[in-house]
Amino acid sequence: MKKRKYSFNFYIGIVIVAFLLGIVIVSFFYTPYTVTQMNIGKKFLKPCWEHLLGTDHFGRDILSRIMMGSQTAFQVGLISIGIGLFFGILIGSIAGYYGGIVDEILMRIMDAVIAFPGLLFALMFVAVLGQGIVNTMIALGIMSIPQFARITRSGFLQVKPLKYIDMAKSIGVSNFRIMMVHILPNVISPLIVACSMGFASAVLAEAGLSYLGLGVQPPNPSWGRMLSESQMYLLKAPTYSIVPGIFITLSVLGFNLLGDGISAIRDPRK
Amino acid sequence: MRYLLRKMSSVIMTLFLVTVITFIVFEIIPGDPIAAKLGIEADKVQIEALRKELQLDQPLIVRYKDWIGNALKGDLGISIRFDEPVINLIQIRMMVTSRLALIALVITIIIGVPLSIITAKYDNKGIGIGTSIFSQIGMALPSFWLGILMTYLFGLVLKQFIPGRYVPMEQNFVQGLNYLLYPAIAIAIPKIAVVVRYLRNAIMDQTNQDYVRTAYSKGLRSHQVMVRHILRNALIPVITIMGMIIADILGGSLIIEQVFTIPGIGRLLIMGISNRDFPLVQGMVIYIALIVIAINLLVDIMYHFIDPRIKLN
Repeated sequence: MKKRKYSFNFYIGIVIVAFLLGIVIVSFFYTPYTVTQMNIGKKFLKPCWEHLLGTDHFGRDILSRIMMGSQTAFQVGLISIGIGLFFGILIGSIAGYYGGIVDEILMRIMDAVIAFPGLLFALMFVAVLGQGIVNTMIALGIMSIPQFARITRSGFLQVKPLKYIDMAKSIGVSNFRIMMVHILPNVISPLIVACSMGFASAVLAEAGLSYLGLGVQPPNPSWGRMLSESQMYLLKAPTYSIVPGIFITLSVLGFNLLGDGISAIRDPRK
Repeated sequence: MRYLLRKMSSVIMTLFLVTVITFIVFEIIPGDPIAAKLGIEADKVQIEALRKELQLDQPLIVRYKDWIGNALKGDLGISIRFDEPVINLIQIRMMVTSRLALIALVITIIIGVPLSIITAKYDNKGIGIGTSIFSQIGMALPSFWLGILMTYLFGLVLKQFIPGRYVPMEQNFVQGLNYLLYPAIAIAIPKIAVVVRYLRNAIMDQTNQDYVRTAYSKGLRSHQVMVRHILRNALIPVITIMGMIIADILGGSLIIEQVFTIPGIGRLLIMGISNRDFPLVQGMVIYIALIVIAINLLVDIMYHFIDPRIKLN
């Protein structure tokens, strides 16, 4: 019974992620209108056949902007997770493999990065380096490093005492090769789960930063930014505020469910 | 006692590294702070004088030592924009934010805990899946979006408060509470989902334990078993996530304050960032980070006292 419940999560997650990915792919080739095409005569339209999700304060098609925004969300998610994964694996495997004082120092630094609550670390970064999509990705990427480093390290600690590692050493395999070829594959599945969950939090964080006006800047469309623009016209066009939020929620939900589902398949007892 | 000592030493290490990170990040500011302050037409003498005054002629370590020494004395520097000590600016706003966070925390607990008990009590497939779906959706909801929706519903449609306005509690307690209530709910909803997700599972794990059967067999009523036995044990794992939740609530209020135009530290921070008021931002980052570390330490110690079985690691 329990097992079915969890695979249920997995399937819902897959469906949502596939749906969003579909939107991203389609948006590269087709959007109903040009994102920047303004039409003052048609501003604040309610959802209708011509504009499925209505129009905004410049008469721009909201569906088209949502579609372009999905590109931004996925781009920020992918690249920041990429940064986190790369440095996380690097730091985690060095800490786990060499242990001792190296481990202590690296993991203490990771603890310190995690100690900044919520968006604070990203906000500090953006404050210093300036706003924009690149700095947002870097800041969110650095924020996600500790997560990956911890997972990699704990995997390394489990595998390192095993006999086959000693054997590999005794026939003269280099440390780097042992780390990457012999130990790392054991950590892959928890890392995939963390990627999925991390993607969800990156999308949420990007939306938050952009909502504050400190993340993605125009002309790059962003769901968070659409929310902050819509807030000024809340009374006139409530749908404008509702739609981007639904997409943010859907992305976070989809990737969280997917991560949950994968971890349940990996370890059905959980 | 040994536990406390080890815990304290690791916290002090984290504290030290947090201050180092904060200090270094603000050293990499692109552009020359002198030029920014004096403009490009400043003459050499002026530049040298200001460089001395801001101690930019000193090596990094010396400046870090001065900075941290002052910070320990409660001097976080002077805000460029407000021309006032950063610590004063923070303290006024912190009153507002801590109230907001406290109300959000209370709401999270008084709704989250009973909800977990109820959903755990009816342990069947429908409720299980339903709870799982709702808690997953709840956790995915961005609190600032909830805030916007609530502004629409309670502010514009039902006219419970005026969007864009804020009444301090000191001025009118009931009104002030009202203006903090809606943002607190917006922060609390995703956190309630987190609590339910963890606590429900913890309760259900405990319900199957032998001691629960024993408690029933000695004739206790079901709510007595729940409160005295199950909940006491089930809350232990939940306390570990409590530190995280409190940190999240504080972090979440940074954005929510922007949605509801509440004059707390969140708005001050955003203002500081937009104005490139670096002393202000740096001071606030360190202040907020320290508070969160302190809260986490408290939660850890509490955890240790509630369940002495837990040792470090």
